[in-house]
Amino acid sequence: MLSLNREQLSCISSRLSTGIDTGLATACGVKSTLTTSVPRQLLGILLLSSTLSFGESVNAATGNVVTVESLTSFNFGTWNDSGDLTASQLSCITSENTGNGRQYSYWVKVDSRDTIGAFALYRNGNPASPASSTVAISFKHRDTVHGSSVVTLLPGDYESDSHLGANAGCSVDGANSELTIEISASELASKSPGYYEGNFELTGMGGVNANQNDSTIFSVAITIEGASQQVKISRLDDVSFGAYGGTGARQSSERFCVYSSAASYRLSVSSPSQDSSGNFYLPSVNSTANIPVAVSFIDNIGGPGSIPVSNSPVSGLGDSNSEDCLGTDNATLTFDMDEQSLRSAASGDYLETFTIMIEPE
Amino acid sequence: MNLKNIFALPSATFFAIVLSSAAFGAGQGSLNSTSTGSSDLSLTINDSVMITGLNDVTFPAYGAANTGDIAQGDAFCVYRNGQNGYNITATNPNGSEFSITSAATGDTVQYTLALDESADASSANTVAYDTAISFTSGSDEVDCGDETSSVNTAFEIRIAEQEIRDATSGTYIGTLQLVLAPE
Repeated sequence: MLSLNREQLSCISSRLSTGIDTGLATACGVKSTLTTSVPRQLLGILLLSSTLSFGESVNAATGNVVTVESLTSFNFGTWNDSGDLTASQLSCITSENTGNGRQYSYWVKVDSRDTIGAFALYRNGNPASPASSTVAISFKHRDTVHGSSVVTLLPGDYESDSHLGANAGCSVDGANSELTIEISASELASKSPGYYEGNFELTGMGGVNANQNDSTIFSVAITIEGASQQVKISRLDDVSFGAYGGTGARQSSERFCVYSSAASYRLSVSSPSQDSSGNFYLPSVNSTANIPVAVSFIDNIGGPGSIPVSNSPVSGLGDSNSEDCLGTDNATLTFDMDEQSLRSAASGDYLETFTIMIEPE
Repeated sequence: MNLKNIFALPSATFFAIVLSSAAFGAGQGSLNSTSTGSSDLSLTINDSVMITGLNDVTFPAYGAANTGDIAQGDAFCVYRNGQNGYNITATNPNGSEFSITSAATGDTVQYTLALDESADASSANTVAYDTAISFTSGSDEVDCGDETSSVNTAFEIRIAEQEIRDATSGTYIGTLQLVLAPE
């Protein structure tokens, strides 16, 4: 025999009378196995007889009300390989007859305002986004006042567990409804970088005959930062100028490998003796003397550098396939010292460390 | 009398600047959101000097109508890397004193030499034979382009009247060698 309590019958009555049968069994707390096997007409008969046996009108209550407090939109900010995300928000859901001051059960559901049958965020808020630009999220609910268990919500379905609603304004026990959003790191990691947003509606159903409802809409947003682009500089050697024959300038080029997972990279050079204008020097080991060094860059190994390097970075493409460029250099820094600077320099040793930094671009 | 001084420039007076080929160990970057490597540049500059701009010195003929000592000189360029100090050692490659010699008779006429670390020889000091004389600073440009008339040092040869009067008639020729060395 099918056993329905008063609230379940009220719920069913309300939903049948208004033509709502989606998730009816779950929403009204009827075991699904029974519900799906019982024809709608039979439920109506059972409902009728049960209703008559209670001997009261489910719509007679005055001040029969459910209220759902507004939620603040959820904004998870920027995600950058920072693990699973969870956010909860506490709000007040009332379900009472203000006429007699009694509280009644309530159920909640969450609907997506962007799609049917899914909880998802879409890149740039576009519900037509492909799977790679759609982030699945989950909602959970519990009543914190009455210590109910956490229920995972299904899109568009009222939760199976009912909770005793609060009085007006939750003035007695405080906010009672905790809505939690969870997004897994693996889900986020598999999606294209960008801004994601979804729009949802939280509905509470309850009241004397479980025929009252109220809802609030809210959005959920997150920005997925692009997977960290990686770069690597390698195959660097110290620069040796060899013997200076007494005339002429000196030039030496250092070829090296730059790997970049990004489309291009920025290269910047610095040294301890670099001045504020970006000029480089080769300082004396034993004195304050120094020799000006012009540094230039070229994004290949076909010749000496042609792009002057100073304070501002220069750009290159890099090798996006091999960290060591398969043993073949792909970038060149050229160091030049003019003849007069060399001749003017005092005798002694000159040494400087040039630091080369690569950044994705 | 026709005196001629020929100055020889020792090849060793110009030292090469040698850049070190020593390796220090470049730093390699690692795979990350940024990557930093380093490369050491090294250079060794050895002492360098060079003397240029020297000219032959010719004294006019000296005869009965002439009196007194005679003096002639020349200004030249001394390059010294770093504008550092240097010294000059003056000698006669054909003898053991400052002198010029008659090709016909073999007679010699001695002279004194003065050097000055300025182009006008205004404060020239007599130097001893084959003795290094120190100077403070050379030009850091090999052609003394930063100096007036591209010269910064001078010498003066002075022959005493009596030396000339003692000499037989003829032409006297000699070579004054200036050896420049860094200090």
